[in-house]
Amino acid sequence: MTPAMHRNALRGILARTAASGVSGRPEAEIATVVDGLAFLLAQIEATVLARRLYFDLPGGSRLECDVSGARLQGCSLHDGAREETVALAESDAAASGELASLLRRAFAMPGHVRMRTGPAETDGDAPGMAGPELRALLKLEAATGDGEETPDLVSFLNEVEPHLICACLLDGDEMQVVSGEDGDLITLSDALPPVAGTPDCPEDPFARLLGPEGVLLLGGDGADSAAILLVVHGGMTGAAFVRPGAEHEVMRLWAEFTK
Amino acid sequence: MASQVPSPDASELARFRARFPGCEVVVLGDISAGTVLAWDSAVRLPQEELDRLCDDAADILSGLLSGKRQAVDDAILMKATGSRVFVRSHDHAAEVLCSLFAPGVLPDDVIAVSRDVLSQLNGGPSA
Repeated sequence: MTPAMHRNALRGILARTAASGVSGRPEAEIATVVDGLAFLLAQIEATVLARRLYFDLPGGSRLECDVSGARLQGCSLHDGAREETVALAESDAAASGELASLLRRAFAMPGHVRMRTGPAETDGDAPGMAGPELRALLKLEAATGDGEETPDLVSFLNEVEPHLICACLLDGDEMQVVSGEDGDLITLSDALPPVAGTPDCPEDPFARLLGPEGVLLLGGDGADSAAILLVVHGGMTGAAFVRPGAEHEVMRLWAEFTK
Repeated sequence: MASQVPSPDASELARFRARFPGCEVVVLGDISAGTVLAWDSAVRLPQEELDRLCDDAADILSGLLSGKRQAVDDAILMKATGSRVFVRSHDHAAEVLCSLFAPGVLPDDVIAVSRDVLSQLNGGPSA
């Protein structure tokens, strides 16, 4: 199953699960939920930094996920009502119904679920890193969904155009002009990342750092105060020179755009 | 709060995090040696994750990402999951401050304050 299929399957299952509960849920769907969650977790650097995720659920229950290696290795639930912990493994078919129940509760009530992260060696009562709420997971999932729901990069570059000296879209080593003078674009092309796949750059450090969705603002070097914006969104890549002093406004607009 | 063995550097980093409550991790690194010099975080992080922040700082600030462009002094890497801020010391070009912020939290003055911290760590005046 491709990542896109994971996302689409997860979106549909979450919607149905939230609406109807988990009774009678086919095991294949439950397995897809687990796979989809594992995929989402793998996209989130905050979870890579940590080794565990703690979802504080309503009623005093807590879902604890082992995300070592940026993969969902297993889950356990401390049930606040029953005062017991149920261990769940990704491949444990017998427990998958319980896990589906947890996921339903977690995803159906994002406003009441708080996600914390922590290293593996801490237990659930140890202070965790204050992290994004579960809604961030869902937003990320939505932001990386199909193109119909994802505003394209052109609209973002158009929105921030007043703050840019020039901007372009990139397709490999091909540059498509969005706006700007020739001289600025030539300067920009000189400043862009090396093309991946060449002997000097066998891998793509740009993609490695930014991932599927991200923006990198490179500040000045003293002699040149203009900042370079490199951005990946919706499968497209763009680059721009930012007007001096407008850097933070551009970042704010990016945050708004990807909300 | 977790940090390395108390040192003047770690104290400065703790003060940095206290000033920016949305800051989850702050790392002082030497990108020429690829060494983490000090760090402060809400939780104890594995060394490899601290090293990775330092490696990212080296890749970004050394100009690897910016083609023919020379090294840059600061950079912000922003994703849906949070922001990383990399600032190079003006006193020692290999010394950088890396900080990781939660989504939606990116203080306007973070680069200026980061530079102040680096200056103080090198014996400069307090901000």
